[in-house]
Order: sequence, then C-alpha cells, then structure tokens
Amino acid sequence: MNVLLCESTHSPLTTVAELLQQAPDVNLVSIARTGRDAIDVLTREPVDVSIHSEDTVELSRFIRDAIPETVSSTISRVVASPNPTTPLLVKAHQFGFDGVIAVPKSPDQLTSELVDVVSRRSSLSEHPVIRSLNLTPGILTRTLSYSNQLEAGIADLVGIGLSDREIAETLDLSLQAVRNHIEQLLQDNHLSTRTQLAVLHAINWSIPDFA
Amino acid sequence: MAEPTYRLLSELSRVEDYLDEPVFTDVTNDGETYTRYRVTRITHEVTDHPREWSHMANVVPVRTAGMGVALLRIVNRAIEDSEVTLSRTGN
Repeated sequence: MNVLLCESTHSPLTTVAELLQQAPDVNLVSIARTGRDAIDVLTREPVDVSIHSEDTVELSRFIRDAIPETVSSTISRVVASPNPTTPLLVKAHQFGFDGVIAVPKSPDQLTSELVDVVSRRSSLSEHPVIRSLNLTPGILTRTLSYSNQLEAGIADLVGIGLSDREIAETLDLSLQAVRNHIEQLLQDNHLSTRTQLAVLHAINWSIPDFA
Repeated sequence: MAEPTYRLLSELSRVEDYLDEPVFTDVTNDGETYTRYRVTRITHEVTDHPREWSHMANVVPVRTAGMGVALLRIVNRAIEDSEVTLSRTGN
C-alpha cells in the first residue's frame, strides 16, 4: 500500500511518519508539506492512501482539483489526529475523506486501520453521528457554478455574511428576488442550506497551500 | 390590540388580480432552507394581523409534490414575506 503523508509545518504527524516507516505492507512514498509537493507526488507516483493532518483537511480539495480525476478517484483519504473530535469527523466527511483515525500505537495497528479504510470495511458515512445528521458526503469538495454574474455577486454577499434583506438593499433588488436567486443557486448546485452555499463560496477565497 | 380578521374571497378571484408574479421563495429552518412555491389561489384577505400578513393562499411546491397554505404579506402586487404550512401527505 503506497501512502502519502500530508502535514503542515505547524502540526507535523511525526509519530505517524515513524509508524509508517515500520508498518508492514506499507510504503511511505513521500511526506508533503505544501499543496504543491502533494500535487507533484500524486501526479508522479501511484498512491493508494493520503493521510492528512487536521489542518490540511480544507486544502485537500485543491489537491483533488489539481490532479486528474482518474488518479483522484483511486485514492483513499484519511485524517490522522491525536484526538479525533466529532466536529473533525463531520468536517472530514464533508470534505470527502474516507476515514478519520486516532494516531495508532503500533505499526501493525496503523496498517490494519488503513486497510480497513481502503477496503471500505470502515467508512465515515457509517459513523453513528454522521448517519444521524443525514449529510451528503463530500459537499465541500464541490465547485460552485453560477448561471450569471448577478448570482455570483449574490453568492459573494452570502459568503461574507450578509442577510437576504441586506443583500436586497445592497443590490437594489426585492427581498423575494434575492430569495429566488439563492433558491436557484442551491438547486443548481445540489445544496440543502444557505450555510453550505456560504461556506462553499468562501472556500474558494482560501490560498491553495498549507505551507 | 384588535384580533386578526380573515375575509373569505370569492372563488372567482384570480391570482393575477393580486400578484404580478405567483412564484415565491419561502425561507424556513432558521433561515437555512429555501423552498419555491406557486400561489394557486388567494383565499382570504387578512387584516389586523400582528405580523402584518395581508392574505392567505393555497400554494404548491414548485420542485416537489405537495400542497399547503401560506400567509402572505403582499405589497405593491408582490409577495414581500411568507409563512407556509404544508399539508401532511397521507402515506
């Protein structure tokens, strides 16, 4: 199993890296400390699993977007955390990760947990919290589409936190016109809530690297 | 404060007598969920409502099956705000 480790310089996965060097049936292909490093490795080398530190979860979407779909679709994505919390589980699920693991205590345990994720024996979607929330996986990996410039502008204003009424006043539209546009944006992008629209739009403002 | 009154409108009254655009978006779930409806008939005129609803209407969701009743605030032949109660479907 070929593994890429993606960690930021702020929170390196030192223990995981050490375990990966000793884990049976695991080949640590590389340790990426920037998004560019990760993209270079994924386009050059076969990788079965990419393991991310908590603070590289958001930026995994840029790595995913930058590599061919044929490569991206074959990679299992895992977040490793010293202390996986419920918000991290939900966030990882929404960013299209396949699993969240606590930093294992032994190389054998690490191999076992990775095999479970790759073979789909363990899935984030089956976690009781995720199931109870009835969330669609990978919502935050999507790229928004807009049918015109006005809708893009409305999404901008939703993304910076304006209310429907404030957007109506800003753009000199009726409240109903704004609501109709937001409903259309949600519909076209297969989203359920205004917050999903705001977050997904705002994500596009992030700088695509984790160095 | 006066109690709200609901005056039943004639069945001959048409939606276009009250509205330029019968399709509107209702927002629920703490401002999170947006649902588009079409007014099929305006049934009552409402006066003295504390939330300033001006009309009551029958509505249908545009993108799904169903039917419901809406309280509407109509200003200048446009729906300014709404509160929709969907009928429960028997199944």
